[in-house]
Amino acid sequence: MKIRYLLVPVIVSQLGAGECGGPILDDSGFDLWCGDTLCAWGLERGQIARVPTWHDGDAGVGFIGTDVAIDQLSSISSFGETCVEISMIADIATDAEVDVNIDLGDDGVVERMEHIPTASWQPLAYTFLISNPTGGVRFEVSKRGNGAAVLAQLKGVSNPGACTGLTPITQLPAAAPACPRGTLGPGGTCP
Amino acid sequence: MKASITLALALALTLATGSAHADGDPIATYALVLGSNSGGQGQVDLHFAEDDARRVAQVLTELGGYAPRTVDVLPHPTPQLVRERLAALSTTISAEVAAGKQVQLFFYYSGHARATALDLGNDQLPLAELRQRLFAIPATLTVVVLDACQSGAFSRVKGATPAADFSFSSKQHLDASGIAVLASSSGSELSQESEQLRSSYFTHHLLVGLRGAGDANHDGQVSIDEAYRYAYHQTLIATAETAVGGQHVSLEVDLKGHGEVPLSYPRKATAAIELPPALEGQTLVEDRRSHTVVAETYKAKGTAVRIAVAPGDYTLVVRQGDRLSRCDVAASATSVVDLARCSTEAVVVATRKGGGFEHPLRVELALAAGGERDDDYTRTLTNFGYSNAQEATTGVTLTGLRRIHPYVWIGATGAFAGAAAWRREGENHPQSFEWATSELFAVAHGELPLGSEGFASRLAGYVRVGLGLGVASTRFVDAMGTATDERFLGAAALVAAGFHTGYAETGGFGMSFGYQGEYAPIISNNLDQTHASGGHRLVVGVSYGF
Repeated sequence: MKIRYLLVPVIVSQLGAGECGGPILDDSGFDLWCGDTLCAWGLERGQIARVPTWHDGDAGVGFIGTDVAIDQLSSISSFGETCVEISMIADIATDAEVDVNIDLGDDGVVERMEHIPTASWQPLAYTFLISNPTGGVRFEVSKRGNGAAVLAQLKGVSNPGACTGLTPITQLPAAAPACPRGTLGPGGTCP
Repeated sequence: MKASITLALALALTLATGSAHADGDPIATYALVLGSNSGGQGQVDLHFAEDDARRVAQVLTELGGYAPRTVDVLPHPTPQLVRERLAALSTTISAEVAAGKQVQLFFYYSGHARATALDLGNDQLPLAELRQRLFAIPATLTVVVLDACQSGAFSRVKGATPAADFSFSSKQHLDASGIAVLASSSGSELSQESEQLRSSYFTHHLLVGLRGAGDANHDGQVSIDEAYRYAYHQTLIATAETAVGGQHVSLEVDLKGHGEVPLSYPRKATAAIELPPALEGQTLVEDRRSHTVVAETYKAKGTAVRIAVAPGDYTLVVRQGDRLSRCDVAASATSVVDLARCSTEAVVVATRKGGGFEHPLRVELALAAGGERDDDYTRTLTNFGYSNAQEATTGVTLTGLRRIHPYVWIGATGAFAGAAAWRREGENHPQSFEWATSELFAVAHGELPLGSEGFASRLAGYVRVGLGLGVASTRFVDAMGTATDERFLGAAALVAAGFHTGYAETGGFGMSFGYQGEYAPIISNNLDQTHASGGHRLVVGVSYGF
């Protein structure tokens, strides 16, 4: 059983989330740990650890190894377009490749990938316009390479006014996935 | 709170007949002694001026050869009353002179004054008029003592030049003509009272000198010159370290004839306390009945000093180094102090010759409020989602100061300040982070009154700097409600400036308000960022001087 299936209660509790200004991700500060893993985030692959950030008491998630990914299925669900603003605090080494992947409908097909540049705890923010996100949206953070990467926060909110001029991301057919999961290239294109 | 008082003394001598009086001459003596505690507009009331007048009268009758009925003591007089008494004296003395007698007149005033007039409450008696009336009286010898601020101006009324220093010798001037003035302060100086002596500095030391401490040549009488030299030294020493500053007694004399002019005859006193030649140290004679200081002088080793007193019981306190000897003396004739029969103890509280600083210590409790310094540390908190709703830091400081100079204090400040909590709302327990900083500084404090009279004399501007150590404690409460405490230690600095009411010299309660900046780069995080605790704050405090 995949870990993300454990999130069903959370998802249920988030029905109706995604309204203006509301959070669309749980445990945005990676504060809730169930043993060695996060309670609200699924471990897709690899290994993670609870590591200190600016303060020993304020923990973040450290990506251990060369291929690690965590994900969370958001309850975003509407018949129109939803503007999502993702903000994060991260410490990413130069030899680490960290991406944020967006999978509409949670069908395993990644419709958009954003590469996170090298960072040293400065705030980063991205905005996505999602079209007709029925079936929810899965947010995945993956890390490749030998370099260290720590995420202190990954916050997602619905912000209708922040997507002016953006092209909506539409769901690709699950039967003919444009790119297998984890292989989407830069700019959202398949290799 | 008692303000330092203006005291000035001027002594003028005129000798109309060309010879100083000698023992056996038929001399009539009269004294008019005035004391006024009342202050005029912008002046605080004095505490001891009227008491000083009574003590002067007492010494004149005990040791000066004045008959009690001829010593007229007037507390808080009006200018009109002074004019009337001077006129009456003029009539009486004219009759005495016409009868062939030599007459000695002693005039004393203690109270407020300005450069041009005596302040008798809300009324004034011009110095020029006073001089004219005094010198119109046909006495053989007239002694005028004015104990008030800027009393040296009395000589300037007539254009005399103040004496350069205490080395003035009246003998050298006996052949000269002009006016002789002895003043407790110069024409521009303030005169001061002492809470410890319960007298003005000048009158106290003048009277101690007249009681025998000033008898430099041990001839049993104290001349004007001897009294002046003694009062000059002791007054200057006693006032040198006060906030108002040194007070220079001056003597101007215009005498015709030769010989000294005795003011008192301590050897003829019915009772006296003799300090033996072996005694050395700061010596204080206290009247056990009235608890007043009769004499305070530094007794040098090698010569006996005889201090004339009224018959009665006295306590003698002699400080020699760190030892204090206390002796009870019953003065009926000449009582020689036997130190071997005195109790001796270690000095517990330092005493100061002549009073020194009247209120050299001050404690101050202040409340501070202001913003916390923004830096990379607090910006990281913001980036991580924490917010500080109040943005105000409040604290309290406790300062102890000791004056080492009229305008300079040193001491220590303890400060405690707590920053408002930074909070981040989460899905479960909100996370919070807060810190408090305790600091201990060694401080230097400079304080300067904004004026010399009225409210301005009680309002002082101050600056304060301090260096020390700070201890900061932080508490982080995570999403599960678990608290993590940390402590940090480091250097700290303080600067402050503002105003203090309740002039330092008067002690008692006071208030302060101003700015205080604290800088303690102590708290650090895992990102190697350091927060300088402190910031710009407004402080309001209360103080007590003692």
